[in-house]
Amino acid sequence: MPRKDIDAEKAMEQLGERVRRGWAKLYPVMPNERAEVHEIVRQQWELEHGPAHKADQDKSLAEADAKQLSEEQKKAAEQQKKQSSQQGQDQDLGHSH
Amino acid sequence: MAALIELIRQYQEAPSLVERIRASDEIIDAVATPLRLYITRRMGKAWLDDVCQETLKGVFKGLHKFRGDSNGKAWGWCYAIASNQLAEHFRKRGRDRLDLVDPDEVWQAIRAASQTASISPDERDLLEHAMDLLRAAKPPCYDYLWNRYMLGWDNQMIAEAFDLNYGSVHTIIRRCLETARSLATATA
Repeated sequence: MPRKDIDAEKAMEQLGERVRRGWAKLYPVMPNERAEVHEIVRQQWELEHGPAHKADQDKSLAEADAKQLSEEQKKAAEQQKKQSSQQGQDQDLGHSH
Repeated sequence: MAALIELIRQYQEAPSLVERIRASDEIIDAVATPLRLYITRRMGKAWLDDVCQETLKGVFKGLHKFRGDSNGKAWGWCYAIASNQLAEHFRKRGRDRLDLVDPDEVWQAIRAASQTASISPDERDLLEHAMDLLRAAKPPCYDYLWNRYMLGWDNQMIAEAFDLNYGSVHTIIRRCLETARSLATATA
């Protein structure tokens, strides 16, 4: 039976505090539920930051690829030049024979 | 624990994904129980876990867009998402029969909380008194008391949620407590 000498507001506040604490123990957020939220956070992060970072990364990769290709082409050209020159010398030598 | 608005700021300003995930865990720890208590009062048990989880996901889907500047607005925004999820659930599956929260479940929560902090005889009297009041309260008083004391809402939040005049909330709550006391005494 409710007692008149008890402060109702204080009693309700205390009950609320206990219920919130107890509810958190009875119904904790499960690891799989947390993981689902983390996945949303990750997707959101990629939406906010991903495309810009990805574009920069793609640009850098493209520049690196182009530089590498140009160096390889340069090397190949030099190699070809060297080979042509070598062949010319061989031919000259052959002629001299 | 820091205020919810602070946790949201930390989340929004996190310099890396790792930091943002860490901030999300702190927000989950802050909001999961109040949101579950809010939803528990408004629907049956069958889909409760699903609605709670969808609410939590809804909070994080929109958190980067939240621009509120106060703790009250942050909580109001979270409860609005819970309310939308409930509306969506009712639209799909129909409205559940609404019962008052089972007093046994409330006692179970009290006992769970008491595993770390024991209940003194005086405190038990206090809690039993509060349970009697809650059991005796009828809607809409039950909802005012539930939101005020179980969810810890302030007068501003109650005024906005129930479309009440801010200045009258304190009086309404006091009258609800008095009425519940009278009803509990009459049924005892």
